Amino acid sequence: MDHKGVFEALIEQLMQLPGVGRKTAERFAFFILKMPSESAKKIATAIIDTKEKLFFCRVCNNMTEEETCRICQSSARDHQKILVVEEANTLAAIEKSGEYKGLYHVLHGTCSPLTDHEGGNAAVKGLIERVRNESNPILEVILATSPNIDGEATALYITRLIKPFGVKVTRIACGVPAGSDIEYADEVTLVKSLEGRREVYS
Amino acid sequence: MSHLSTEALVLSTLRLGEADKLITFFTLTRGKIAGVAKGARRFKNRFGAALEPFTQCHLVAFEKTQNKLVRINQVDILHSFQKLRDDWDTIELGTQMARLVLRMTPEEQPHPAIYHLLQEALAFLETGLDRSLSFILFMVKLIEECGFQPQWTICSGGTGHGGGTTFSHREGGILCDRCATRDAASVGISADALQFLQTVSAADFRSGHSQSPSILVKREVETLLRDYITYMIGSKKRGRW
Ligand SMILES: [Zn+2]
Ligand SMILES: [Zn+2]
Repeated sequence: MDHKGVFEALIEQLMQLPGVGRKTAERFAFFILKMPSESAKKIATAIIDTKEKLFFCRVCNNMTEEETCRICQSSARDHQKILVVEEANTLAAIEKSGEYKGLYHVLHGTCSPLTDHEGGNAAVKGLIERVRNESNPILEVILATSPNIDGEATALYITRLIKPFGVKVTRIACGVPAGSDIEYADEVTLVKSLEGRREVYS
Repeated sequence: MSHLSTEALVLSTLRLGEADKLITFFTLTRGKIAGVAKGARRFKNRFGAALEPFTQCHLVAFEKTQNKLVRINQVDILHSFQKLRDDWDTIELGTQMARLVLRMTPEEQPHPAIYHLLQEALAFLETGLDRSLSFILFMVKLIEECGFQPQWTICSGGTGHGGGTTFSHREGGILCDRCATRDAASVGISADALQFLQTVSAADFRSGHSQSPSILVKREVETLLRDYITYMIGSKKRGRW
């Protein structure tokens, strides 16, 4: 392989990443070319480590270096609550807030008639197994899928499947974003926020 | 760069890049067009819920000459059809309607009748009592608008025979007993189903709702129309688009 071949191969590989087109891939490739060997090796090693040492938790599908993730193993967590998210990065965001103490279930996608996305289906089966498992009774399943049609469809689908087990199913609130001006909210957002209103206690 | 301003229905939305969405609309004045909504997936974005599927909106976009995609500038909700998105069954039926329009119409060809048909059908899904009937009538009328109107009254064998007992996708119509051998793939059709199809073909979408076919007839007609559409658009998945 000549120099152009090596460089071209790098560009092609980078283009596999989501949102990276030819232009961006070229920019990245030139950057890598100019960066110290040490730093470039670190990137390569991190990618290899991710693929070799990281797995999806066999209980909740979260990223883990062991068979079962740290959250599922923790006795400090509330094992009667499961919060369902589409992607692991949502889980990370919720963990950062430190407000939630229960367990998770990561779908790695949605199950909606719109997307034909089958990815989420296996994960939904896993969720049903967890709800069914009587040795560890689940009291509440919180659906934190996105408030768009795919996320709503997924929430409706999961609700339909797990309600028969007598579990409390809740949906995260949807409405006016914190820190924004209410006058800029569209009608759907306003209606949703009215539906999800709650009593104010003094 | 020219300017586009029209009423539109959102057919589909796809994630694009890091924070954008690729939206396909059926517009009143320009037919089916696709466009990019920059930043539409960000938490605070100027589009809000206006780009969700089924939404009837007023769309303002810029056309790029070298690119088929328009750049979506502003979208105002005219009717959100939010109720459709609150129920799995209506999401499913609405999605299939939108998908049919997506698959059966060419790009950038104005077809106001299809626009009004989809809008009316979504409204019937939202408030109507018999959603499966609305879906069937939508298929009947969309097939007609797309120029695939089947022959429901006389045999398509070309011999002037009346009546029919099977339906041929290839011939695009019914075949009588004598002509049924012309197409080995033709499927049986009951007298009740045929009667229903003849009646609703002669009526418009709205007045077709005065019919009250039995569940069996609805099931038969729905399967027949789905298979016919699948045949017409060359889809590999039977009855799914
Ligand atoms: Zn886990
Ligand atoms: Zn004949």
